[in-house]
Amino acid sequence: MNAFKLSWKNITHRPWRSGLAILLMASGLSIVIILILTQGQIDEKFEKNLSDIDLVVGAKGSPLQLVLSSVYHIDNPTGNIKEKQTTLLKRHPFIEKSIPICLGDNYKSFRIVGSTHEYLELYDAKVKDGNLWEKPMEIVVGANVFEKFPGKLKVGSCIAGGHGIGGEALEEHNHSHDDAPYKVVGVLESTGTVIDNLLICEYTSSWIVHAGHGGGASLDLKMELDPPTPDSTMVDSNSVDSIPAEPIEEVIEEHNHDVHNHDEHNHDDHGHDHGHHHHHAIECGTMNTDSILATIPEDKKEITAVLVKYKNQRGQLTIPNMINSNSSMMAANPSIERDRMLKLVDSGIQTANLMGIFVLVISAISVFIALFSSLKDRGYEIALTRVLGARRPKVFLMIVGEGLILSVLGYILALIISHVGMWIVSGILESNYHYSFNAWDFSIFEVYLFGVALIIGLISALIPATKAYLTDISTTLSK
Amino acid sequence: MIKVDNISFAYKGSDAMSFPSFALEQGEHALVLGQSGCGKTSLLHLMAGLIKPNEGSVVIDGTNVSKISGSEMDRFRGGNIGIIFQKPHFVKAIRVLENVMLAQNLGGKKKNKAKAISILTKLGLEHKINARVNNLSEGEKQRVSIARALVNSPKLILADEPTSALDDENCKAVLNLLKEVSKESNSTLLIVTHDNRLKDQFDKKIELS
Repeated sequence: MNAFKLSWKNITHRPWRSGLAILLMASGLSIVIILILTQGQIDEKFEKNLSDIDLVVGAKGSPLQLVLSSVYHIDNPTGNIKEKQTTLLKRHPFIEKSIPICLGDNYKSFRIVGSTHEYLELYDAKVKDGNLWEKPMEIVVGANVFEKFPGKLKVGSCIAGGHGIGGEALEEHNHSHDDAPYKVVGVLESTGTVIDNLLICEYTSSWIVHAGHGGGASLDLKMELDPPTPDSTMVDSNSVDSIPAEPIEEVIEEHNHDVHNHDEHNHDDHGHDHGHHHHHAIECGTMNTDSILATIPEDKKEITAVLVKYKNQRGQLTIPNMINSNSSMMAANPSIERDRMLKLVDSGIQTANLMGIFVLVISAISVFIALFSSLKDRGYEIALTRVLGARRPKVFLMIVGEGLILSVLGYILALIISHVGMWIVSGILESNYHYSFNAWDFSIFEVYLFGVALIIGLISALIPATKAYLTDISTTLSK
Repeated sequence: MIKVDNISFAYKGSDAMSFPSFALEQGEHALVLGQSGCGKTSLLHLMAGLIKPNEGSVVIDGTNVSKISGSEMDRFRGGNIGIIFQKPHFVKAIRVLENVMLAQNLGGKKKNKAKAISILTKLGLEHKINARVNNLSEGEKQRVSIARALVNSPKLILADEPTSALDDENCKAVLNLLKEVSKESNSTLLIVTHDNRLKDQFDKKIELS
């Protein structure tokens, strides 16, 4: 029966009191761990996803919203701009890259982004399987999206986009472009960036999708009648004539979305019992995209935003100003917007951090109380161990040992709580925003935190241990 | 083997108590008698080195326990003196056998499970070795504390009112056990008591007044 074992037995002998101390310690530590991990991963994600983008140009509105929607794919777009407005960006001598972004459709809540190959180059995305698209209506699939729908997004599959952008796809009204299916031509390798959660195609695809049926025309008409206000979200994401997204099999088979049979629409019931549906799905990849594109008038060619990379420093000085004052478009600096947002996030994290520290202080007190009060009952035991030959330092170490054991157990529990907690939160974030944390990433701070836990255990054990050290055997035994 | 020479002791703010001098040979058994409050327990604590006398000396087996330092005393006591208290106390978090073996560990002796078990068996506690100390009867507790005091085969056994909480039957049993086991290990046995039932059981008596 060595001192450590005795400390351990004394802890397990008082399971409730020890358990409370451990639980409090674990709560405090896990709050801090979760915050550290979250902050680290948020910062990293926002940094990575920004890539080399110097400027985002889009419809006027909130610059933060523009950046969030077009770079991070979180928020709704601010609206659309005409492609012809952006031609000056393509030709400008200070601009190295201008990459169009077209948003507005989704595949089962994952965003379909229309862009160019350059967009993939921004994130060093490599094709794992298949190829990049060669023409409109061919699509490549991000790694996470591919995994989310096993077997459904293989190269060669046909998929139909739903109308509306990703985050809102779970809402009831979602419009399916089942008559203009995409053909999956490639699957991307995981990049750890936002690309993993996207499906990407040539930006002209969305014009074809919307021109291919009556819905597109009405959509454009609506936009003209009702131009986007600065803060309006994507005009059509909640449009009344959209219908819920349906699983692809049903969509293709039912195929009831046609401008001519709008009256037959059953908005309430999309079950399998639609006996009267036509089966005339267009085979994907067979569409003559060039001829469709040729029919689209210039002012119907709209995009959501342009991601700009400057050629040199002078771009920074002239281009944002040029766009903001001389055009109906808006230029937003993504680094500034990101910092603005991280600042908001950080102040929240700071507050939560204070809370964590507060809980840690409480836990230190609870370890102290657990030891101190148990020592009160154990005064005689301490004297007894001295009588049996234990010297003062040994008695001191035994109590300190109890404090340390409590804090180590608290730390282990905290690791479990925080990482499982992260895993749960990550799942929620994933389903709501397609933004996920890696719950099993460990930070070096967790190692430091182990030190903190030990110090807490040590400090809170110090007074009880000193008390045990100073126990007067004779008086205690005479009581 | 133990020599108590002219010692006196004063608790803070109290008058000094002085104790008669006496000496015991190795293996000798003796009784220290006296009424409550006459300093019996203080004498026992002085002999065990738990407190130091203001004057005089206690020499055990050639070691002047009144002079050595606190931690040396702890070690000396752990290895050479077995103490049985009036009220048996244990480390409640551990079992009966573990409590007995704790004395081996803290007394600086080798872990010897067989010896601990054999002593407990001798005291009729073989079926209780894995019991919780709180679940023992008073008589059993006293026997466990005897086992704990004896497990290191100490040269000196000090017992403070070991029988006062026991009925006649248990009193006799405990006393016989104490005598028997100390005889076996040739330990010097000194019992401090006001229990008159023990009076006739010992030849050597030291009276405190």
